[in-house]
Amino acid sequence: MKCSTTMWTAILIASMAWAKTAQAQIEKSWTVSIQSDVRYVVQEKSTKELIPAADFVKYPYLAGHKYRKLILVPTGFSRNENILHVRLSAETDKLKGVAEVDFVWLGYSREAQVLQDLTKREKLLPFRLESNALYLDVNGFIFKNLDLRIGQQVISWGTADQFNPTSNLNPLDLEDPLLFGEHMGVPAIRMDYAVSDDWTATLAWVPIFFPDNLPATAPIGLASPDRIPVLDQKMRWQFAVDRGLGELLANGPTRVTEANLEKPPMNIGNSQVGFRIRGKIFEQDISLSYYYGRSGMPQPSVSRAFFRQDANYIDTRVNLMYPRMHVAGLSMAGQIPWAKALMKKNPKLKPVGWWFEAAAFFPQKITMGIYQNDFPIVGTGEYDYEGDGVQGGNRPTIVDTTPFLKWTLGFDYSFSNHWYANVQWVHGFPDEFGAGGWLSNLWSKQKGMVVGKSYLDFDYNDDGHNDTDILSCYGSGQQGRCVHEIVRPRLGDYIVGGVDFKFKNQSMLMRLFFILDMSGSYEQYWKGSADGSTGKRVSVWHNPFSAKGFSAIIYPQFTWAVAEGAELSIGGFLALGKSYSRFGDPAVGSSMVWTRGKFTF
Amino acid sequence: MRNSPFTIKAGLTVGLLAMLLAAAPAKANPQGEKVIRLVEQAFLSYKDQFGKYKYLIKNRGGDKIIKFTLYNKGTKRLIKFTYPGDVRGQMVLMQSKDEMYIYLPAYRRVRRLAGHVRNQGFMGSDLSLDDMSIGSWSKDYTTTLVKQDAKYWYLSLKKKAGRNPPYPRLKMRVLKKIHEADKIEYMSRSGRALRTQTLTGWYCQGNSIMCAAKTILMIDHRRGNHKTYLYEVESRFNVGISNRKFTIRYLMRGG
Repeated sequence: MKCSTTMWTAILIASMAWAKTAQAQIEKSWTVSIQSDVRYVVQEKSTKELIPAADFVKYPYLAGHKYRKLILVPTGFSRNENILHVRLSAETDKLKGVAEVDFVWLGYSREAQVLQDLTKREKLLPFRLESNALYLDVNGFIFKNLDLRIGQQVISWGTADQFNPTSNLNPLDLEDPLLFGEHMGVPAIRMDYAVSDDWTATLAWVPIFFPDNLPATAPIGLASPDRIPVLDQKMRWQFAVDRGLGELLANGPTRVTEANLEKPPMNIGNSQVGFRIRGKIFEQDISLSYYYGRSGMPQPSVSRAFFRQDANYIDTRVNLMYPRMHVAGLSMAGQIPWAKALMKKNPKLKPVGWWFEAAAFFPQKITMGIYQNDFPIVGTGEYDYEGDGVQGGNRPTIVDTTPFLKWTLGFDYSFSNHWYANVQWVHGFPDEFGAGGWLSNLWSKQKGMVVGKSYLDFDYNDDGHNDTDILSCYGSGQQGRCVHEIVRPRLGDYIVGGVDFKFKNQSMLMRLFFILDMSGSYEQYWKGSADGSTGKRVSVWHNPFSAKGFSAIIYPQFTWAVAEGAELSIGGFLALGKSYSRFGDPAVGSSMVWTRGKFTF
Repeated sequence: MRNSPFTIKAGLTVGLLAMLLAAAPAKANPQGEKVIRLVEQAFLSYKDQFGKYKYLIKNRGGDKIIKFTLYNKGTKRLIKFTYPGDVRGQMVLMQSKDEMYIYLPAYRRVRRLAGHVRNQGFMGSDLSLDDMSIGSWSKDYTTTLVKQDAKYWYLSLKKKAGRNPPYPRLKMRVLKKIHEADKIEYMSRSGRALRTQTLTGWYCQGNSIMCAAKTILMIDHRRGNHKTYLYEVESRFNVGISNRKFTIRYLMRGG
């Protein structure tokens, strides 16, 4: 940290000195905007938790299941923000300074809990500050063709719309689901060298790692221990059965009560660097990039379970870490003319816009250590991963070193002054990490899956009656007979599309965007005779247009530019699908309606 | 159509043009081609240009104003929007007819603009990005001199085979004195007038070499004679604008 601070100071002084010669006329500008957001969740999302009632749940997995409803996302107001955005800039030919601040008044208080809190304004009306730009630019730094930017900034790479796998230097801002993953500004140094008018080489250094900002609903996903993304499915089954047995003994559910972050130490070894060269070939834009740093999405690395029979639950605490990764990227964009024959028929046809962006990720291997405390039979210590009666062994892999590819291919077209359409195929969402999905499987031959839902199922022949019990599956190598999983690829495939309709001299806009998960889901379970003598584990694919495989976001919006710089918007955000699906998952959030007013001057 | 509504300058003397056209029969094609080349040369009569402009878009529900700063050098253009606040900081870079880029400050991102966007009305106006780019008519059209009088040449332009300009036919009225078109009609294949552009308030700098119009009026007949005015607020020529202003690198850094 000390080292990086010294370097920052040195570079800042050098750049200031270099720019001192620039005493040309200063051009100043400012922009202020006021924005008001109100959102209302219209769909409650809930889950089921095992009832820790001794009279019925003495042997839950033998006698049957009984659950209670846990509301994860309640209906009601979810956001009531007012934002003051201020942007100031001053520039000469040589130098430019930009300061941008958002003052966000949250509009509700979760902190005022006791009477004394009512005496504190900051508890009643909490607010936060954000800045994505607070930097200094020096043009022609040392060399004529070298530009320097130092300070809080967003370094956006890639040509795709919103889904940019090559853009990894800044953490994602997933706090607001309606923004679909903006980037947050971080302190960085960036240098651009103009090799020619068309070609530019960029070197960027982010001294301190910042994790992604997750949505308020993200902890819901972590709270489900069955969804920890253990790569090896047999080990997943073993955990599921052991967890079930533990719950039986504890007479209650497993709860993740803590998720602690293992943040990388603030030293130069944990800095992030990126390099990119960007230019044109045959009038098409192209760039090649490289990034070394860490994924901003945390992965579980340690799980500690505490047996709490007195409290009727198993208390689980998870540690999360940020895997290192190398990323090699390619971005392209341009336009495709129509075939001459078509143009002859309809001369009004215009070239179609296209873009392609791909990033090959080379991740660090992440394994997870599991520790048990005060458990009956096994006592205290590391989990026996191999089931050989000896604690420890090969820890389960969460992320392996298999490289994986994320990419986006998109097109857009304006049909007239009124109609515009945009469509993209996205392989790998910003929060998805690790090899898995049809493309990765071509070379890895490994089905990287994440669990949407997992439960113990003792009904082999689906006749509504249990054919076995948990003890038959425990420690027998037969766990696969009792575990029912609904899984999907680690890297999903999505169609992101939308249409704009502008009217009334472009002062009004109707927009309908959607994201459709094309991966579907796989239901995997044991199917066999009631006595278990015959059968096999089956995998049933639910296609994306079936009830069990469907998952989508629909995002309608109406915006009216009521005056110069002022607009009012109303819209919806519909998260559709089963609770185990990509967008039906309560961790994604829930369906809502929203309004927004904004005035910029 | 690639007309430049913003920079209207002439580069040749009236005497030279008079020599070229002295014996021109009214509809001789070669003369039409010569005139249109002179008009094109007028674009290149300066090294660079800096200007401030204001759009006034006449809407039934109320007028709309857009202000911007323009940087011009050779065939490249950079437009920086300054008003209203929600478009302030937005920039459009035109490197050529087929290479246009937009910088969106809200997204801190540079996007390439494909051909389908360029002839759409820009920000509710009757002017498109194609209108703002600099190109040459002679590449896309064959030009015929229809008639002339003491003050004007009257040209008829028809699209060339294999070319695909936004409008198949144009009618152009060119001021003889300064080689500038002060009226352009954009027409369909059948000859129906789609838009009419009129330039007024001419003034010249540098001994009549660089001329500009103070006001441009674009009427879109397809939109019920919807009108957009473009006013020049300030304009300076040969001010020494750096080449870096016309690069994607400049856009990527937010200007």
